[in-house]
Amino acid sequence: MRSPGGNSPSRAALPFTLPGDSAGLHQPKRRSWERRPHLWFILPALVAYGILFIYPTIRSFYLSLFDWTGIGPIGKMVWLANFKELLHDERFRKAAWNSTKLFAVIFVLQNTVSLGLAMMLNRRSPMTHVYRAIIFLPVVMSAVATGIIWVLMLDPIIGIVNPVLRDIGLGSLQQEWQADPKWAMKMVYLVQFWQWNGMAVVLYLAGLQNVPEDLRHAALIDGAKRWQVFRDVTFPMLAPAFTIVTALSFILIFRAFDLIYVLGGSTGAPDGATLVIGVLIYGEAFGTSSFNAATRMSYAMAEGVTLFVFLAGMSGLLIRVLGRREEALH
Amino acid sequence: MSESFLGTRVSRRSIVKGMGGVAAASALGAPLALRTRGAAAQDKVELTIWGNHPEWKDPMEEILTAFMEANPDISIQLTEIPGPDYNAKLQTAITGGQPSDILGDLEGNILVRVAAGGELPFIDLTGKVDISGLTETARTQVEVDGKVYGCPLAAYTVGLAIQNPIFEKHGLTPPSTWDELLSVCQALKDAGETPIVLGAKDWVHPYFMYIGLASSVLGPDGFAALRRGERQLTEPEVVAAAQLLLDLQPYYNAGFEATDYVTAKAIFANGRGAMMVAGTADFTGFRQVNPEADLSFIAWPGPEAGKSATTTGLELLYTVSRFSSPEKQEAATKFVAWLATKEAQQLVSDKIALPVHKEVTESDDPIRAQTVAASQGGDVAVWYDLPEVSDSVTAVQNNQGGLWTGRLTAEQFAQEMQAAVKPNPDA
Repeated sequence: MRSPGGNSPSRAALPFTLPGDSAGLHQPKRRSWERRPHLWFILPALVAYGILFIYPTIRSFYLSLFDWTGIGPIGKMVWLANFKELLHDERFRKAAWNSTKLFAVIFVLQNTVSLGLAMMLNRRSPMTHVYRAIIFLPVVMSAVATGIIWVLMLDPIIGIVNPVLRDIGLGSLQQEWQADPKWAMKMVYLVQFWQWNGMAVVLYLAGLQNVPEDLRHAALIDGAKRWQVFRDVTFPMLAPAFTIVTALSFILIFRAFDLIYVLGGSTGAPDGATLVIGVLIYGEAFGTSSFNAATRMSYAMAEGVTLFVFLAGMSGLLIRVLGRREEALH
Repeated sequence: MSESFLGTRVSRRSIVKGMGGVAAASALGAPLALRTRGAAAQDKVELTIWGNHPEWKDPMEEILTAFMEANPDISIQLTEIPGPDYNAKLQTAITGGQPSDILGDLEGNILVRVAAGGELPFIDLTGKVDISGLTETARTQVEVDGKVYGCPLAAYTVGLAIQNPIFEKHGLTPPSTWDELLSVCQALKDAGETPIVLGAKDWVHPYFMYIGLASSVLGPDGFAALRRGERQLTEPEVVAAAQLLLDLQPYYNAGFEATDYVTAKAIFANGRGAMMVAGTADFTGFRQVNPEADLSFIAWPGPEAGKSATTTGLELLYTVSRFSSPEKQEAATKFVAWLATKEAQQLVSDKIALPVHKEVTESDDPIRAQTVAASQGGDVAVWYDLPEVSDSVTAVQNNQGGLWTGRLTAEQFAQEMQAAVKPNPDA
């Protein structure tokens, strides 16, 4: 039996049900989990995420309302007292300001140096892959190992930076890089940027490879200069990469801990010059050394909750503003 | 459908059957194997213990081996955790119910935990551990309200470590007064040496230096008066201790503000500095860095002759975890009881640091002999061990950096320190 319009088998002879087939409507209704088998695949990750992230986060909100050192039973409820204290806490303000400065510096460097490097690496040359690997290498290195290496290199007694400067005739530039409050935070900027530069370069490189060559060539043929091509063609086309780089670095910088802890220690030496929010929270929660078991777990949680709310709010705002910018540019 | 397998026709069904048989046999055999292994494990109770001095791993292993030889039914596995990370790991493990079986708490923490109330992470060892032989300082840290909770591993006394070759090379003698300290520092600096190695990054050295110098002004009686609120750290003669800390600034190592405790120890051990704040425990680390190091120990110089001082504290307080099984608790209790004996403390004295047993007064180690002699001049407890002055740690931690950068004067620093004192008339 043939169908009227061709030589395909009739619907009745098909071994399966076609969409819209009336026979299919009479099949028993499948349950939600049967209709969405992918849920089973993400369930283990969801459970782990719930246990390791969602529950502790919610619990932190609750515990931040208490006066608890982290030792012994949970103390009395103080409601928002920890949050009120935060507003007047000089160290918290200093740490927040240092984190803000760090983000601002990294933001500028990522959108100048990293973007410039990405544009250079976007050119085809035999060594491009090698350069890319070298630039990306710090991203995959252990932050603690990176920190220790920089601490040793910058040390005025056993480091190599000062001797090298002296040997190449720039002895006047020698500094106590980590001990001088004027230089300590600059070293944090340098090391933090050195570590995360590769990520921004790769993201911008991916964005650059999505910019059609035709557009650039068309602009050049129309008489645009290289700078105009970059400003009016390339950079607007990089808007999605710019959004990702900015949002990611915002989150990474404000929750930065490991590398800066190694560089500045538990108190942000010297004299709090390198204290950032991540290090401050850790010190309050777990103490600042084996000699100081004085901890304020609930206060640390209040700091963490404040940071969480700030990051969530600002990230949402950033993504929305930058998303609108992308739409406007396109 | 079937396949040829070594010349035999094997059906897929028979393969599945065979696999099922193997699985069933494994399931039956596993409990048997476990029972056998369980029987072997019953021979030895395996305990865990954590330490906070990685440089003590070898001597600690020797001490544990001595215990295990006397108790062949117990095996103890040691994990050394770097000091700065120890408290974080311990608190996290306690919260998660997974601390080591022999639980090493930080000095002062047993008092804090008992005062905080609630369920303790360690069990009551009253009647099981005899602490009558321990020093008064040690007993007050592990016995609260008549209940015994553990035994300290060792004690440490903090003063000044001296690099003998540097002093000999320049014909200098170790200082015993503040004036001598300043003149020795100047002479060493003039000779191109680094007079004092200080690691101020993690504030530990400045803390011990301040409490050492302030204690040399106060003496044991003045320190007791400070705790009772009868004396103040803002008195001019005590402020002078903070001022000395500042006056010595030109004599510290380059970049001391950002030099950490461990790096400072390495710099000193390698002979790149003449003096350093050091506790008894540090000398094991110095020798690991440089086995040839020729060192000695002196008390903190005092404002005048005869007023030198040392401060003495305790290493980890070993207790028995309440999270462990009864069998492990029993074995861990044996260890803690052994640690409180003269025999164990003699080993501690010979291999690690100062003993906490009253009858152990001698040591194979000359540094420990010098330490005992130095502490005769005027020894007070490490301030953070005592509730009235325990917040002094946080005060130094938050303010010592201000001294170096000029944010705080010595007077202002002393005010911050005094604000951290919680006087108790009954102390």
